[in-house]
Amino acid sequence: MTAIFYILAGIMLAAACYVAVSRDIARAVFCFFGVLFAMAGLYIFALADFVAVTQILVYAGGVVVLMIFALMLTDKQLLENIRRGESSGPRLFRARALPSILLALAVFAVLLQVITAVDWGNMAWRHEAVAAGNRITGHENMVENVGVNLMTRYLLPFEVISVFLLAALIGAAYLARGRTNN
Amino acid sequence: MSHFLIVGAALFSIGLYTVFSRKNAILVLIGIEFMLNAAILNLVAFGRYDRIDNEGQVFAIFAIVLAAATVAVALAIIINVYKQYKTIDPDKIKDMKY
Amino acid sequence: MTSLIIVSVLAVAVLYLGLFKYKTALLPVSVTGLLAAAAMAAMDWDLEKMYFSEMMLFDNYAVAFSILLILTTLLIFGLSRNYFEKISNNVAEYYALMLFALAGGVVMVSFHNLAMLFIGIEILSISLYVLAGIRRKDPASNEASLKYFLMGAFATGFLLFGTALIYGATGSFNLAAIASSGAFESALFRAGVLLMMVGLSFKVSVAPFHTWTPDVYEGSPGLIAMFMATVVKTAGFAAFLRLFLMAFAEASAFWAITVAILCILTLFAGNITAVFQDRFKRLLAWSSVSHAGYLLLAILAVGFSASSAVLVYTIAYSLASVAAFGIMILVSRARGNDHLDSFNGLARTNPFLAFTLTLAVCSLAGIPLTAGFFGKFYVFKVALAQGYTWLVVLAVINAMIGIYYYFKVIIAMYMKENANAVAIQLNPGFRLVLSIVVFLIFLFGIFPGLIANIL
Repeated sequence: MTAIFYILAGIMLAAACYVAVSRDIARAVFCFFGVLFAMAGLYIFALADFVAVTQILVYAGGVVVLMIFALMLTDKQLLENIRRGESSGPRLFRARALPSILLALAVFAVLLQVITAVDWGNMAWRHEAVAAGNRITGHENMVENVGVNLMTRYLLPFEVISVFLLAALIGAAYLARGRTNN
Repeated sequence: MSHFLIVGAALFSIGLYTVFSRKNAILVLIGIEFMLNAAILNLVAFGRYDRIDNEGQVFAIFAIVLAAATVAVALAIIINVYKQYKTIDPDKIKDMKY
Repeated sequence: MTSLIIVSVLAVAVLYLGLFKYKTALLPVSVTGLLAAAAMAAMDWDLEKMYFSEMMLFDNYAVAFSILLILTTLLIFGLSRNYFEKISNNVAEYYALMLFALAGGVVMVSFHNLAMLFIGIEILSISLYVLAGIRRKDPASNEASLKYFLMGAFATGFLLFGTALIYGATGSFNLAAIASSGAFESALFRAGVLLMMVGLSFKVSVAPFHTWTPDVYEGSPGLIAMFMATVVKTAGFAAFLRLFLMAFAEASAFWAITVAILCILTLFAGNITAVFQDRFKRLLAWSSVSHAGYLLLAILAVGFSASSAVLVYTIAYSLASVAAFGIMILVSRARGNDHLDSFNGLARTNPFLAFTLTLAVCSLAGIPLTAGFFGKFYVFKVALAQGYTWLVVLAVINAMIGIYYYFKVIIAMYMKENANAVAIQLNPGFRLVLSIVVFLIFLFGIFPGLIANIL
């Protein structure tokens, strides 16, 4: 089981790195798809099956398709490289990318430091949760529980999100509406 | 537990790098999505210790929905910008300095 | 809570009015709805109601800031008659999106759970991404929209990651539970606080995360820039303070020094750059960055005196900004651009406008007898009470730099002549709103007790 976790995490990080350095935008977007799918796998390892399904439906199904559309509308040359079978390999080191690399590495180092400094065995709320039997073991039906929670405990954020979705819908429709010539 | 967090931190940093180094608004957007996904992974990992209230998982679902809707608006904006400038490189879009 | 429902329903109602082409009804309906929302918010005074398993808490803090946001939006709507019609035929969308943004703002000032904070910020932001780009044929507006979006979404990434870490450290998103978790020493918690601080700093344009501000303000339509400078900044700071007051107050020893550094950076970045601006809109944008610095001073002094100081400051700042941006819109419409030279001779052609603008910039600069003076006064007072004398000294130096660049526009209006300047026509909406603003700036400048003791 742990082996699969590391394989998924490895695939995900490798694909993410490819997106970050690839010169070919179309391939980068397809790798982004891979990242999202592998992430869904990791969510399952965290025993969040409903989140994983949502991830695949909303992100991998919706967002990636939207992005490919946007790319095709803004970049006419997009698929040319793939059709010609050219492999424009990633350029790994560019001088002007150096500050970004250093910044990203610094942030990673700090986060790693934080994570390793935490005494996981000694966190109060985790102890309480384990003692109260509040830990997800993977044998219970979480989807039902999440659904009930969404409609009871989290009803207010759930409803407020509908306001958000309406605003996003109107905004996107307004901006993307065809031009009337003056 | 800490394995999830390390993977999340790595993805967050890669996202950060993507945002700063890419010259295409859509790829910058993908970098931002990496950062959001890293955060969602953390939420889900911590959510394992909340079987009854599912705080982490529900927040993760909210975050996914919000991020997806934001992307829709973002792409509308990007296409509008492309129509005006014929490029979506945020650095080249410098009309402001009169 | 009722006010939040009214604002959201009002936005939908406005959309329906637009659908059935009742364009003339849009403004009256919005104004009535907003007045009702403000009244309903006032009814919640002193009730301290929790809603839906502690998702929101309508305490006096939330009520006061909700009313401030609603009334500021009302003033902006008062100026918007015939403004949006010039941009496009679909006016209903502007009103609806501004009302949605307002709903997000109300959520931001009354959250009691990090989930609501996140959703509130997102509602506010997404409406503004669209509003900034609402002039679809204007390249500058499109650019502002793209920049604002990229920066805003980037900040959301930090905010969400920080939220996740705080959840990991404390096991809850509830502000009270976070405050009582006792996990303040853990590295996870500290990293979470810092990341959330970065995310919020982007949203309220605190240096060094402020670089988007001038371009976005300049590219957006004037009224939207006014909305960003007033409603968005007020909501952002109210949320910032509420989060740090209710959840992270115990850990203040840890984050106070970071906030102090951000404060100094913001003050100097905003004020020094503003000195070199020769366009009024950019000057206002940079000055709005510097005002974020003064507000950070109050956040350092966690406690109820801090919320009261922030309330007074945001009231004064919102009033003055409405007047300054409103006159900027009038002048740039009448004279083609918002260059400082365009203000030459305004005192001769439009004495009322010149007087109002003078009052507004005096209030922004913090001259006595205006509301802005007491805004700065209370902020400095709470910072001094916490022992940040050196910071207050630096802030006073910055206030002096501020006086220098604000007076440039007064000099242009009163001392310089413009031979071919013609009087600018005012519509009744502008006249009414500007008169109200002048009255209130004087009222709060002379009787600050009216607003200083609310919280």
